[in-house]
Amino acid sequence: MTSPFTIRRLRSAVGTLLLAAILLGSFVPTGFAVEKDAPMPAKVMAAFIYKFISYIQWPEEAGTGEFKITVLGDSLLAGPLEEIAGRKTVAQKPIVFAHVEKLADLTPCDILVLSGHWSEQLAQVTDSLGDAPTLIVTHCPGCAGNGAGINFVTREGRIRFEVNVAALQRAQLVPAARFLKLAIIVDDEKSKEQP
Amino acid sequence: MTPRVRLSVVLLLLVLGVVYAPPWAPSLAEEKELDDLLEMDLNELMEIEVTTASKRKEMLWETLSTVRVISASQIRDRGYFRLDDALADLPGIQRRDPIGLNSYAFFRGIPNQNNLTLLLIDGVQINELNSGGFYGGGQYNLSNTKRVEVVYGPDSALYGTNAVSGVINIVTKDPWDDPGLRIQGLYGSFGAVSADMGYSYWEPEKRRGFRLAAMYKTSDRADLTGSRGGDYWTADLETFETDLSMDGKFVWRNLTIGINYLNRAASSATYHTAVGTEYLDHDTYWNIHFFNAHARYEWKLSPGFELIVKAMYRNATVADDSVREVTTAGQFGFYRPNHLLGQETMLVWSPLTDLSLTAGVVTDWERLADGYGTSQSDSPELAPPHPDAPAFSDNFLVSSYLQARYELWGMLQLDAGARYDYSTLYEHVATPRAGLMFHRGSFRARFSYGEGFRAPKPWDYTDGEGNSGLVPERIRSAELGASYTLMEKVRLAVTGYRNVLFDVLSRDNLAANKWRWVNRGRVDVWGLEAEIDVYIWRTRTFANYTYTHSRDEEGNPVPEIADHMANIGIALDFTRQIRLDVRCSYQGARETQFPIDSSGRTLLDDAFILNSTLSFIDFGGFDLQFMVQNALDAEYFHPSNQTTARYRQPQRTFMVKGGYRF
Repeated sequence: MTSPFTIRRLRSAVGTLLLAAILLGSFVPTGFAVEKDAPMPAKVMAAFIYKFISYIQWPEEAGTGEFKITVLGDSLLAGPLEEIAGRKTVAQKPIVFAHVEKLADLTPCDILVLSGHWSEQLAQVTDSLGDAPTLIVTHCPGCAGNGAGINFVTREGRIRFEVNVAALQRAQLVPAARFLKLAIIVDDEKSKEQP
Repeated sequence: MTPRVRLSVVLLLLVLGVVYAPPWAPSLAEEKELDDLLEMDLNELMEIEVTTASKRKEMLWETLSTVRVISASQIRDRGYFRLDDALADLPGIQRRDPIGLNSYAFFRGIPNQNNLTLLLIDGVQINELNSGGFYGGGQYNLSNTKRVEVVYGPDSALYGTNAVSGVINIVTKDPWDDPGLRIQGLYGSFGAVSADMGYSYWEPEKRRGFRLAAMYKTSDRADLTGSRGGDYWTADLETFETDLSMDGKFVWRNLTIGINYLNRAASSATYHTAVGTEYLDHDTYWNIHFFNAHARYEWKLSPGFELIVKAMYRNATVADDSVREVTTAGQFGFYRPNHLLGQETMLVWSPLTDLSLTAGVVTDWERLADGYGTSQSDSPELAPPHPDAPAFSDNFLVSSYLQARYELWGMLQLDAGARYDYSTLYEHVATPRAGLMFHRGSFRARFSYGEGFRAPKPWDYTDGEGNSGLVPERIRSAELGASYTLMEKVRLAVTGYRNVLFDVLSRDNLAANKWRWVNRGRVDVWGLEAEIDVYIWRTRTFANYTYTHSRDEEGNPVPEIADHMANIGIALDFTRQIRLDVRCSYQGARETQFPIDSSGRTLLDDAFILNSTLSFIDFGGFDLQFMVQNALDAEYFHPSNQTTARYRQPQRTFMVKGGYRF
């Protein structure tokens, strides 16, 4: 049988450890605290977006000395995309990251990632962009059909992406065939609305 | 019921626990770091689970053990040729490489015959069934490896016997990795040649596909003839190693079937000193085969409730054409087949948001050789006849485990659990484990206590004069660690530990040519491992330092263990496609078991070993790599537990590797 002395020592050790852990924690700068679960899907989607670049061809005349990714609105993708911009290049061009809150502040970019709020205002965004060579990326039900080039969805607990080929064509973007094989192709509701 | 069993039962009842879901069990579900994600292609990203298994995702990376991961990109960019090369860059691991029938990795200051460490491929053990030790070497197909996960400390609470000082899990690529066909070839110094291929087919919507991979590799490894090897061997010395690996993985929704075959055929000539002895250093041939097959099915019965069933067959056979020794009297043949059939049923249940339980039952049937079947020829020039099969013993094993993880206030994690094993060979063993982790932001601190054991094998009971009274040797381990990540660019980690190995299985020399194995001796170790990783601009830098204070029961330094070891490396991306990797290892001075020369000196000098790889990646589907190992041509040695007191390690080695993706 375990002696009371042993139990006391065990209690004392556990108590000391708890206290030490809490004290240690109190000295950790809270500025570095992040939501524990949030980064996972955001990082995965950011990695998807970075991978999309190698499967899509932008028109040559749209090329500048840099590749620009903009996030419109408050999106968890902003952090990991900014991190990717700091580390990676596209065809030896640096990736420039921008984060804007208002449509009016938007400047030409190669990829535009919409927050949940701006996804609801998708029509306003596509009208503003017109035929600019910009890949619009969203994460909302039905957004691909309504003008986004790529829209993230979840199937059986895994990330899938819908592609609106007509929307890409309007933006003069050419997707690779092997890219389309992986995608869920959706019809373009926007073109159906045309007379 | 012994106090230890009672303690384990109390733990079980209190926290409903044997613990950790193996860090690799649901390999897709782990929380990925951005760097890992950016190395994946679209197919791989599409296989990451993002919803229902979130609790298990957290369990994987937040295990209270020290887990270090060697990624596929590190394997490629660093040009690792053998598994041993990859392990050498990790803190806390020291090695003994006889350039012969096996090579050994010592975790945290305890020398052994690789039988205190488990090696798994996709979660299935590859350790040789009879000796319980794994084979180091080149037989693992690193081109088909997604990552290598290395767990430090005892893990018998999950894996039972032999998980004493560490677990190495090689995770092979899945059907969604590396789509299409890829072939590679390598040519290098000391007759190094290798070729490998991998083909993946995957239908993401139907979640079905397969991956096939194969590898052939051969090398003479080093020149140890004459004075270059320390005058232990003649100019006839053979040091070849030829490896073959074949993998198949088939996935259809929740069912995975995996098949793995490994063959390692190597010279065992360095097992004995040849100069001045009856032993000859040519025509030996140690030929061992491993065949593993497993099927795994996962039922997601409801959110937070999952049942996983796994069945497996394992075969580890020293083939009957093996010749371990050649003497002036003849060649000596060896033969040792072993089989295992087993199943594991695991239930993962999250009854509360913050509580996760894992319970499982393992049943194994083993048929193990009591010893080697042996034969002898009449001349050193003649191959021996194939030996007869040895006598066998059957072993039935039933194990159960229950583990729990509880999250408290969003910053504390409590883990506890135990495993109970009953074997017809070594009877009852209970193994508890518990731990506590504090995490806040990018800071983590953890404390854990665990035990492990290595059960005697039939060979131990019968070797020499035999000893039926053997009991498992055991380890008790406590570990304290902390890590901090600054802006995801700088990661610092420090781990301190104390290990006590007792009831050590030791050879007791009774008289000339008479011995037996006994439980005797103790190894007492404490140590410190410090690491830093820095990601700045286009560079990735790592450095680690290990201090190991390893003493035997009389307080003497344990031979083969250095007090100090360190590694530093930098990888530079000139462009996305051109990369340079440079690494340097410092191996501290360490004692040998036997005098090196007539002066009676027993100390191996310290050494610096420099390795470098220049990679050109994906130029129109082509890859090209130039590698140099031991670039400074340092003359350095590994220790030995044989009468050959030390083993010269490979000289400067150049290799060039090319590949093409169709």
